[in-house]
Amino acid sequence: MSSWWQRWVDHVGRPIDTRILASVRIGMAGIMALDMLWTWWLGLVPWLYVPGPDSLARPHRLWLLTDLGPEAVHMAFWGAVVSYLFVAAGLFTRPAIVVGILCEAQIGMANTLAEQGVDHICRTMLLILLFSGSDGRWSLGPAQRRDTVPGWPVDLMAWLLVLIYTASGVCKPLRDWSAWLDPSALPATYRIMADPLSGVVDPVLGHQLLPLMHAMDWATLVFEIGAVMLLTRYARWWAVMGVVMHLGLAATMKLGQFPYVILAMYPIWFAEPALRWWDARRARATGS
Amino acid sequence: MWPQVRAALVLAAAVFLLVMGFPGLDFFQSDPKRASTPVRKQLVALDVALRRPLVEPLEPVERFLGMNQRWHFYTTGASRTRRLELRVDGEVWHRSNHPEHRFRAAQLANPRLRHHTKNWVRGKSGSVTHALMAWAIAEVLTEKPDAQHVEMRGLEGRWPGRKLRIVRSAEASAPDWTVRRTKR
Repeated sequence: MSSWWQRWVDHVGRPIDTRILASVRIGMAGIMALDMLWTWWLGLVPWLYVPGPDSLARPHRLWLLTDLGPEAVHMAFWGAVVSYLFVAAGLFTRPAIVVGILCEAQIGMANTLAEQGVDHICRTMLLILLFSGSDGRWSLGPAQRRDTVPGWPVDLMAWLLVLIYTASGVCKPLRDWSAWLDPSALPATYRIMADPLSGVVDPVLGHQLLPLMHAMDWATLVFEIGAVMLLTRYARWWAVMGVVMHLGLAATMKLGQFPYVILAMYPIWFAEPALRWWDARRARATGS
Repeated sequence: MWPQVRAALVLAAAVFLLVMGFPGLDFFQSDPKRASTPVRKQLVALDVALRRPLVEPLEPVERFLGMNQRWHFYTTGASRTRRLELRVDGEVWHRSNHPEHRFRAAQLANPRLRHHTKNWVRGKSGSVTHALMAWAIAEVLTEKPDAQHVEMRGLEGRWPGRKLRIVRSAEASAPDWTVRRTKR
Protein backbone atom coordinates (compact mmCIF):
# COMPACT_ATOMS: atom_id res chain seq x y z
CA MET A 1 0.00 0.00 0.00
CA SER A 2 1.40 3.39 -0.93
CA SER A 3 2.57 5.63 1.84
CA TRP A 4 0.25 8.53 0.90
CA TRP A 5 -2.78 6.30 1.23
CA GLN A 6 -1.65 5.02 4.62
CA ARG A 7 -1.05 8.61 5.73
CA TRP A 8 -4.60 9.47 4.62
CA VAL A 9 -6.03 6.44 6.48
CA ASP A 10 -4.14 7.45 9.63
CA HIS A 11 -5.16 11.08 9.25
CA VAL A 12 -8.93 10.52 8.95
CA GLY A 13 -8.85 8.02 11.81
CA ARG A 14 -6.77 10.13 14.20
CA PRO A 15 -8.51 10.53 17.55
CA ILE A 16 -9.85 13.99 18.39
CA ASP A 17 -11.58 15.27 21.49
CA THR A 18 -15.31 14.49 21.15
CA ARG A 19 -16.14 17.84 22.74
CA ILE A 20 -14.94 19.63 19.57
CA LEU A 21 -17.77 18.06 17.57
CA ALA A 22 -20.18 18.30 20.49
CA SER A 23 -19.66 22.05 20.65
CA VAL A 24 -20.38 22.36 16.90
CA ARG A 25 -23.51 20.21 17.32
CA ILE A 26 -24.83 22.23 20.24
CA GLY A 27 -24.04 25.64 18.71
CA MET A 28 -25.29 24.93 15.23
CA ALA A 29 -28.49 23.03 16.06
CA GLY A 30 -29.28 25.45 18.91
CA ILE A 31 -29.00 28.49 16.63
CA MET A 32 -31.04 26.79 13.88
CA ALA A 33 -33.83 26.03 16.37
CA LEU A 34 -33.73 29.59 17.74
CA ASP A 35 -33.88 31.05 14.25
CA MET A 36 -36.99 29.01 13.48
CA LEU A 37 -38.56 29.99 16.81
CA TRP A 38 -37.82 33.65 16.04
CA THR A 39 -39.59 33.33 12.67
CA TRP A 40 -42.58 31.83 14.48
CA TRP A 41 -42.48 34.52 17.21
CA LEU A 42 -42.65 37.19 14.52
CA GLY A 43 -45.86 35.59 13.21
CA LEU A 44 -44.35 34.87 9.79
CA VAL A 45 -44.84 31.10 9.59
CA PRO A 46 -48.36 31.06 8.04
CA TRP A 47 -47.53 33.87 5.59
CA LEU A 48 -44.30 32.28 4.46
CA TYR A 49 -45.07 28.59 4.43
CA VAL A 50 -48.79 27.75 4.37
CA PRO A 51 -49.93 27.80 0.72
CA GLY A 52 -53.02 29.93 0.09
CA PRO A 53 -54.30 32.92 -1.89
CA ASP A 54 -52.86 35.48 0.57
CA SER A 55 -49.64 33.60 1.23
CA LEU A 56 -46.09 34.06 -0.02
CA ALA A 57 -45.67 30.28 -0.22
CA ARG A 58 -45.03 28.98 -3.73
CA PRO A 59 -44.56 25.23 -3.29
CA HIS A 60 -41.85 23.52 -5.31
CA ARG A 61 -42.71 20.31 -7.17
CA LEU A 62 -40.84 18.35 -4.47
CA TRP A 63 -43.21 19.73 -1.83
CA LEU A 64 -44.81 16.53 -0.58
CA LEU A 65 -47.23 17.85 2.02
CA THR A 66 -49.92 19.29 -0.29
CA ASP A 67 -52.45 16.52 0.31
CA LEU A 68 -52.06 16.71 4.08
CA GLY A 69 -53.49 20.22 4.31
CA PRO A 70 -52.20 23.36 6.04
CA GLU A 71 -51.63 21.57 9.34
CA ALA A 72 -48.86 19.54 7.69
CA VAL A 73 -46.77 22.70 7.35
CA HIS A 74 -47.03 23.40 11.06
CA MET A 75 -46.24 19.77 11.85
CA ALA A 76 -43.15 19.86 9.65
CA PHE A 77 -42.10 23.21 11.13
CA TRP A 78 -42.42 22.07 14.72
CA GLY A 79 -40.95 18.70 13.81
CA ALA A 80 -37.82 20.52 12.66
CA VAL A 81 -37.70 22.81 15.71
CA VAL A 82 -38.08 19.95 18.21
CA SER A 83 -35.60 17.79 16.29
CA TYR A 84 -32.96 20.53 16.32
CA LEU A 85 -33.52 21.06 20.05
CA PHE A 86 -33.01 17.31 20.50
CA VAL A 87 -29.82 17.48 18.41
CA ALA A 88 -28.50 20.36 20.51
CA ALA A 89 -29.32 18.46 23.69
CA GLY A 90 -27.80 15.26 22.33
CA LEU A 91 -31.07 13.41 22.84
CA PHE A 92 -31.56 10.62 20.28
CA THR A 93 -29.18 12.68 18.18
CA ARG A 94 -29.03 10.59 15.02
CA PRO A 95 -32.78 10.07 14.48
CA ALA A 96 -33.30 13.72 15.42
CA ILE A 97 -30.82 14.85 12.73
CA VAL A 98 -32.62 12.78 10.08
CA VAL A 99 -36.08 14.03 11.07
CA GLY A 100 -34.86 17.63 11.38
CA ILE A 101 -33.24 17.67 7.94
CA LEU A 102 -36.28 16.12 6.22
CA CYS A 103 -38.81 18.39 7.96
CA GLU A 104 -36.83 21.58 7.42
CA ALA A 105 -36.10 20.70 3.78
CA GLN A 106 -39.84 20.28 3.23
CA ILE A 107 -40.53 23.65 4.87
CA GLY A 108 -37.97 25.13 2.48
CA MET A 109 -39.82 23.54 -0.46
CA ALA A 110 -42.94 25.51 0.48
CA ASN A 111 -41.14 28.78 -0.19
CA THR A 112 -37.79 28.51 -1.91
CA LEU A 113 -37.27 32.28 -1.73
CA ALA A 114 -37.44 32.12 2.06
CA GLU A 115 -34.62 29.60 2.00
CA GLN A 116 -31.12 30.92 2.49
CA GLY A 117 -27.78 29.49 1.44
CA VAL A 118 -26.94 29.02 5.09
CA ASP A 119 -29.85 26.58 5.47
CA HIS A 120 -28.20 24.36 2.88
CA ILE A 121 -24.83 24.69 4.62
CA CYS A 122 -26.33 23.73 7.99
CA ARG A 123 -28.14 20.70 6.67
CA THR A 124 -24.97 19.49 4.92
CA MET A 125 -23.00 19.96 8.15
CA LEU A 126 -25.68 18.07 10.09
CA LEU A 127 -25.39 15.20 7.61
CA ILE A 128 -21.66 15.05 8.38
CA LEU A 129 -22.41 15.14 12.13
CA LEU A 130 -24.91 12.29 11.66
CA PHE A 131 -22.03 9.86 11.15
CA SER A 132 -19.61 11.50 13.56
CA GLY A 133 -20.36 10.36 17.11
CA SER A 134 -20.68 13.99 18.20
CA ASP A 135 -23.12 12.90 20.93
CA GLY A 136 -20.37 11.02 22.77
CA ARG A 137 -20.01 14.03 25.09
CA TRP A 138 -22.22 16.82 26.38
CA SER A 139 -25.40 14.91 25.52
CA LEU A 140 -28.43 13.66 27.40
CA GLY A 141 -28.30 10.26 25.79
CA PRO A 142 -28.80 7.47 25.17
CA ALA A 143 -25.44 7.58 23.34
CA GLN A 144 -22.49 6.12 25.22
CA ARG A 145 -19.81 8.47 26.50
CA ARG A 146 -16.76 8.60 24.22
CA ASP A 147 -13.86 10.89 25.03
CA THR A 148 -12.37 10.67 21.55
CA VAL A 149 -13.77 10.09 18.06
CA PRO A 150 -12.10 9.83 14.63
CA GLY A 151 -11.13 13.24 13.26
CA TRP A 152 -12.57 12.98 9.73
CA PRO A 153 -15.74 15.06 10.42
CA VAL A 154 -13.54 18.05 11.23
CA ASP A 155 -11.73 17.56 7.90
CA LEU A 156 -14.96 17.37 5.91
CA MET A 157 -16.44 20.40 7.64
CA ALA A 158 -13.29 22.43 7.03
CA TRP A 159 -13.28 21.28 3.40
CA LEU A 160 -16.89 22.33 2.89
CA LEU A 161 -16.24 25.76 4.40
CA VAL A 162 -13.15 26.17 2.19
CA LEU A 163 -15.22 25.36 -0.90
CA ILE A 164 -17.93 27.82 0.16
CA TYR A 165 -15.50 30.64 0.90
CA THR A 166 -13.47 30.01 -2.26
CA ALA A 167 -16.55 29.92 -4.48
CA SER A 168 -17.83 33.15 -2.94
CA GLY A 169 -14.41 34.79 -3.30
CA VAL A 170 -13.93 33.69 -6.91
CA CYS A 171 -17.43 34.74 -7.99
CA LYS A 172 -17.20 38.26 -6.55
CA PRO A 173 -14.68 39.71 -9.04
CA LEU A 174 -16.11 37.54 -11.82
CA ARG A 175 -19.50 39.18 -11.34
CA ASP A 176 -18.32 42.75 -10.93
CA TRP A 177 -14.56 43.14 -10.64
CA SER A 178 -14.65 46.95 -10.46
CA ALA A 179 -16.95 46.97 -7.42
CA TRP A 180 -14.49 44.76 -5.54
CA LEU A 181 -11.13 45.93 -6.86
CA ASP A 182 -11.34 49.38 -8.46
CA PRO A 183 -10.54 52.10 -5.89
CA SER A 184 -12.44 54.68 -7.97
CA ALA A 185 -15.69 52.67 -7.99
CA LEU A 186 -18.33 52.52 -5.28
CA PRO A 187 -17.13 49.66 -3.05
CA ALA A 188 -19.24 46.51 -2.97
CA THR A 189 -19.03 46.35 0.83
CA TYR A 190 -20.65 49.78 1.00
CA ARG A 191 -23.39 48.73 -1.43
CA ILE A 192 -24.04 45.63 0.67
CA MET A 193 -23.86 47.09 4.18
CA ALA A 194 -25.63 50.36 3.35
CA ASP A 195 -28.42 48.76 1.34
CA PRO A 196 -31.44 49.81 3.45
CA LEU A 197 -33.24 46.59 2.57
CA SER A 198 -30.56 44.33 4.05
CA GLY A 199 -27.92 46.39 5.85
CA VAL A 200 -27.93 48.60 8.91
CA VAL A 201 -25.28 51.15 7.88
CA ASP A 202 -26.72 54.56 7.06
CA PRO A 203 -26.00 55.13 3.33
CA VAL A 204 -25.17 58.81 3.75
CA LEU A 205 -22.91 58.23 6.75
CA GLY A 206 -21.32 55.18 5.15
CA HIS A 207 -20.55 57.22 2.05
CA GLN A 208 -18.00 59.16 4.11
CA LEU A 209 -16.14 55.94 4.93
CA LEU A 210 -15.47 54.70 1.40
CA PRO A 211 -11.69 54.15 1.87
CA LEU A 212 -12.46 51.87 4.81
CA MET A 213 -15.06 50.05 2.71
CA HIS A 214 -12.49 49.50 -0.08
CA ALA A 215 -10.11 48.03 2.48
CA MET A 216 -12.89 45.72 3.66
CA ASP A 217 -13.57 44.67 0.05
CA TRP A 218 -9.96 43.65 -0.44
CA ALA A 219 -9.69 41.95 2.96
CA THR A 220 -12.83 39.93 2.17
CA LEU A 221 -11.38 38.81 -1.17
CA VAL A 222 -8.04 37.89 0.43
CA PHE A 223 -9.76 35.84 3.12
CA GLU A 224 -12.18 34.07 0.79
CA ILE A 225 -9.92 33.36 -2.17
CA GLY A 226 -7.17 32.31 0.23
CA ALA A 227 -9.53 30.10 2.23
CA VAL A 228 -7.45 27.05 1.35
CA MET A 229 -5.19 28.29 4.17
CA LEU A 230 -7.87 26.87 6.49
CA LEU A 231 -6.56 23.43 5.56
CA THR A 232 -2.96 24.21 6.52
CA ARG A 233 -1.12 24.61 9.81
CA TYR A 234 -1.91 28.35 9.61
CA ALA A 235 -5.63 27.55 9.77
CA ARG A 236 -6.23 29.16 13.17
CA TRP A 237 -4.67 32.45 12.08
CA TRP A 238 -6.75 32.47 8.91
CA ALA A 239 -9.85 31.54 10.92
CA VAL A 240 -9.32 34.67 13.06
CA MET A 241 -9.93 36.67 9.86
CA GLY A 242 -13.11 34.65 9.36
CA VAL A 243 -14.30 35.44 12.88
CA VAL A 244 -13.70 39.15 12.29
CA MET A 245 -15.54 39.01 8.95
CA HIS A 246 -18.57 37.20 10.39
CA LEU A 247 -18.74 39.49 13.43
CA GLY A 248 -18.61 42.43 11.01
CA LEU A 249 -21.47 40.92 9.02
CA ALA A 250 -23.48 40.37 12.20
CA ALA A 251 -22.98 44.00 13.21
CA THR A 252 -23.71 45.62 9.87
CA MET A 253 -26.32 43.45 8.18
CA LYS A 254 -29.68 41.86 8.83
CA LEU A 255 -28.72 38.30 7.99
CA GLY A 256 -30.62 36.30 10.57
CA GLN A 257 -28.76 33.20 11.70
CA PHE A 258 -26.05 33.31 9.01
CA PRO A 259 -23.03 34.80 10.81
CA TYR A 260 -23.81 33.07 14.11
CA VAL A 261 -24.36 29.61 12.73
CA ILE A 262 -21.17 29.80 10.66
CA LEU A 263 -19.25 30.93 13.73
CA ALA A 264 -20.76 27.94 15.55
CA MET A 265 -18.73 25.78 13.14
CA TYR A 266 -15.46 27.51 14.04
CA PRO A 267 -14.75 25.29 17.08
CA ILE A 268 -13.23 22.92 14.53
CA TRP A 269 -10.28 25.36 14.57
CA PHE A 270 -10.44 26.88 18.03
CA ALA A 271 -11.92 24.31 20.42
CA GLU A 272 -8.86 22.09 20.78
CA PRO A 273 -6.50 24.63 22.45
CA ALA A 274 -9.41 26.07 24.43
CA LEU A 275 -10.34 22.63 25.79
CA ARG A 276 -6.69 21.84 26.57
CA TRP A 277 -6.43 25.07 28.55
CA TRP A 278 -9.72 24.38 30.32
CA ASP A 279 -8.72 20.80 31.24
CA ALA A 280 -5.34 21.97 32.58
CA ARG A 281 -7.07 24.65 34.66
CA ARG A 282 -9.54 22.15 36.09
CA ALA A 283 -6.77 19.65 36.82
CA ARG A 284 -4.84 22.34 38.70
CA ALA A 285 -7.97 23.34 40.63
CA THR A 286 -8.78 19.79 41.67
CA GLY A 287 -5.11 18.99 42.30
CA SER A 288 -5.21 15.90 40.08
CA MET B 1 -10.33 -3.28 7.10
CA TRP B 2 -12.76 -0.66 8.50
CA PRO B 3 -10.15 2.14 8.66
CA GLN B 4 -9.44 1.61 4.95
CA VAL B 5 -13.14 1.67 4.04
CA ARG B 6 -13.71 4.75 6.19
CA ALA B 7 -10.81 6.57 4.56
CA ALA B 8 -12.20 5.71 1.12
CA LEU B 9 -15.69 6.96 2.09
CA VAL B 10 -14.32 10.23 3.46
CA LEU B 11 -12.31 10.74 0.28
CA ALA B 12 -15.42 10.02 -1.80
CA ALA B 13 -17.43 12.54 0.23
CA ALA B 14 -14.74 15.20 -0.22
CA VAL B 15 -14.63 14.58 -3.99
CA PHE B 16 -18.46 14.68 -4.10
CA LEU B 17 -18.49 18.08 -2.37
CA LEU B 18 -15.83 19.37 -4.77
CA VAL B 19 -17.64 18.16 -7.88
CA MET B 20 -21.07 19.40 -6.77
CA GLY B 21 -19.85 22.80 -5.63
CA PHE B 22 -16.79 23.48 -7.78
CA PRO B 23 -16.04 27.18 -7.28
CA GLY B 24 -17.28 29.38 -10.11
CA LEU B 25 -18.72 26.87 -12.57
CA ASP B 26 -22.37 27.06 -11.56
CA PHE B 27 -22.04 30.83 -11.36
CA PHE B 28 -21.26 31.02 -15.11
CA GLN B 29 -24.12 28.74 -16.01
CA SER B 30 -26.77 30.44 -13.90
CA ASP B 31 -26.78 33.35 -16.38
CA PRO B 32 -25.55 32.97 -20.00
CA LYS B 33 -24.32 36.59 -19.98
CA ARG B 34 -21.72 35.65 -17.38
CA ALA B 35 -19.94 33.33 -19.82
CA SER B 36 -19.04 36.27 -22.02
CA THR B 37 -15.30 35.86 -22.70
CA PRO B 38 -13.67 33.04 -24.72
CA VAL B 39 -11.98 31.62 -21.59
CA ARG B 40 -15.27 31.57 -19.69
CA LYS B 41 -17.04 29.97 -22.66
CA GLN B 42 -14.33 27.31 -22.76
CA LEU B 43 -14.78 26.67 -19.04
CA VAL B 44 -18.53 26.30 -19.46
CA ALA B 45 -18.04 23.90 -22.40
CA LEU B 46 -15.68 21.78 -20.28
CA ASP B 47 -18.13 21.88 -17.40
CA VAL B 48 -21.02 20.80 -19.62
CA ALA B 49 -18.95 17.95 -21.05
CA LEU B 50 -17.31 16.67 -17.86
CA ARG B 51 -19.00 17.81 -14.66
CA ARG B 52 -22.66 18.29 -15.55
CA PRO B 53 -23.22 14.60 -16.47
CA LEU B 54 -22.08 13.71 -12.95
CA VAL B 55 -23.99 16.49 -11.21
CA GLU B 56 -27.37 16.36 -12.95
CA PRO B 57 -28.52 12.91 -11.76
CA LEU B 58 -27.74 13.92 -8.18
CA GLU B 59 -29.47 17.30 -8.24
CA PRO B 60 -32.99 16.01 -7.38
CA VAL B 61 -31.58 14.22 -4.31
CA GLU B 62 -29.63 17.31 -3.34
CA ARG B 63 -32.75 19.42 -3.74
CA PHE B 64 -34.99 17.02 -1.85
CA LEU B 65 -32.62 17.07 1.12
CA GLY B 66 -32.23 20.85 0.86
CA MET B 67 -28.46 20.59 0.46
CA ASN B 68 -27.69 22.40 -2.80
CA GLN B 69 -23.95 22.84 -3.19
CA ARG B 70 -23.88 26.04 -5.25
CA TRP B 71 -22.14 28.80 -3.39
CA HIS B 72 -21.78 32.39 -4.48
CA PHE B 73 -22.68 34.64 -1.59
CA TYR B 74 -22.85 38.42 -2.02
CA THR B 75 -21.17 38.65 -5.38
CA THR B 76 -22.15 42.30 -5.61
CA GLY B 77 -24.18 44.83 -3.68
CA ALA B 78 -27.28 46.76 -4.67
CA SER B 79 -26.81 48.93 -7.76
CA ARG B 80 -29.06 51.64 -6.28
CA THR B 81 -30.47 52.63 -2.90
CA ARG B 82 -33.88 51.07 -2.39
CA ARG B 83 -36.33 51.29 0.47
CA LEU B 84 -39.71 49.83 1.25
CA GLU B 85 -42.24 52.19 2.75
CA LEU B 86 -45.58 51.47 4.42
CA ARG B 87 -48.07 54.30 4.80
CA VAL B 88 -51.23 54.11 6.85
CA ASP B 89 -53.86 56.81 6.27
CA GLY B 90 -51.16 58.95 4.64
CA GLU B 91 -48.71 58.65 7.51
CA VAL B 92 -45.36 56.80 7.17
CA TRP B 93 -45.32 53.83 9.53
CA HIS B 94 -42.36 51.92 8.13
CA ARG B 95 -39.32 52.83 6.08
CA SER B 96 -36.45 50.37 5.54
CA ASN B 97 -33.58 50.97 7.96
CA HIS B 98 -35.12 54.15 9.33
CA PRO B 99 -34.52 55.06 12.99
CA GLU B 100 -38.10 56.27 13.59
CA HIS B 101 -40.50 54.61 11.14
CA ARG B 102 -40.06 51.08 12.44
CA PHE B 103 -43.50 49.46 12.25
CA ARG B 104 -42.92 45.66 11.99
CA ALA B 105 -39.24 46.35 11.30
CA ALA B 106 -38.19 43.00 12.78
CA GLN B 107 -40.51 41.12 10.44
CA LEU B 108 -39.55 43.11 7.35
CA ALA B 109 -35.85 42.73 8.14
CA ASN B 110 -36.15 38.99 8.64
CA PRO B 111 -34.13 37.37 5.83
CA ARG B 112 -36.92 34.88 5.13
CA LEU B 113 -39.38 37.66 4.28
CA ARG B 114 -36.84 40.20 3.06
CA HIS B 115 -36.12 38.47 -0.26
CA HIS B 116 -39.78 38.89 -1.18
CA THR B 117 -39.88 42.58 -0.27
CA LYS B 118 -36.53 43.21 -1.96
CA ASN B 119 -37.67 41.59 -5.19
CA TRP B 120 -40.92 43.52 -5.04
CA VAL B 121 -39.15 46.87 -4.67
CA ARG B 122 -36.83 45.92 -7.55
CA GLY B 123 -39.84 45.04 -9.71
CA LYS B 124 -38.67 41.44 -10.07
CA SER B 125 -41.65 39.87 -8.39
CA GLY B 126 -44.95 41.67 -8.95
CA SER B 127 -46.84 38.45 -8.25
CA VAL B 128 -46.24 38.79 -4.52
CA THR B 129 -47.90 42.22 -4.34
CA HIS B 130 -51.21 40.75 -3.20
CA ALA B 131 -49.62 38.54 -0.51
CA LEU B 132 -47.36 41.32 0.83
CA MET B 133 -50.26 43.74 0.98
CA ALA B 134 -52.47 41.14 2.69
CA TRP B 135 -49.76 40.69 5.33
CA ALA B 136 -49.30 44.46 5.75
CA ILE B 137 -53.06 45.09 6.04
CA ALA B 138 -53.46 42.33 8.64
CA GLU B 139 -50.59 43.76 10.69
CA VAL B 140 -51.89 47.33 10.43
CA LEU B 141 -55.40 46.29 11.50
CA THR B 142 -54.07 44.56 14.63
CA GLU B 143 -52.43 47.85 15.58
CA LYS B 144 -55.15 50.23 14.33
CA PRO B 145 -58.49 48.45 13.71
CA ASP B 146 -60.10 51.60 12.28
CA ALA B 147 -57.39 52.22 9.65
CA GLN B 148 -58.89 53.27 6.30
CA HIS B 149 -56.00 53.18 3.83
CA VAL B 150 -52.74 51.23 3.51
CA GLU B 151 -50.14 51.95 0.86
CA MET B 152 -46.90 50.09 0.15
CA ARG B 153 -44.23 51.92 -1.81
CA GLY B 154 -40.93 50.94 -3.37
CA LEU B 155 -38.48 53.82 -3.40
CA GLU B 156 -35.30 54.00 -5.43
CA GLY B 157 -32.46 56.43 -6.07
CA ARG B 158 -28.78 56.79 -6.81
CA TRP B 159 -26.31 56.18 -4.01
CA PRO B 160 -26.13 57.42 -1.31
CA GLY B 161 -29.87 57.86 -1.71
CA ARG B 162 -30.50 61.42 -0.54
CA LYS B 163 -33.28 61.67 -3.14
CA LEU B 164 -35.55 58.72 -3.76
CA ARG B 165 -38.46 58.39 -6.16
CA ILE B 166 -41.42 56.04 -6.10
CA VAL B 167 -40.86 53.17 -8.52
CA ARG B 168 -43.50 50.75 -7.24
CA SER B 169 -46.67 51.13 -5.25
CA ALA B 170 -49.81 49.31 -4.26
CA GLU B 171 -52.68 50.40 -2.06
CA ALA B 172 -55.90 49.19 -0.50
CA SER B 173 -58.76 50.88 1.34
CA ALA B 174 -61.43 49.89 3.83
CA PRO B 175 -63.90 48.30 3.90
CA ASP B 176 -63.15 45.74 1.17
CA TRP B 177 -59.33 46.13 1.16
CA THR B 178 -59.07 45.27 -2.52
CA VAL B 179 -55.43 45.64 -3.56
CA ARG B 180 -54.68 47.99 -6.47
CA ARG B 181 -51.22 48.25 -8.01
CA THR B 182 -50.82 51.95 -8.65
CA LYS B 183 -47.26 51.81 -9.98
CA ARG B 184 -45.70 48.67 -11.48
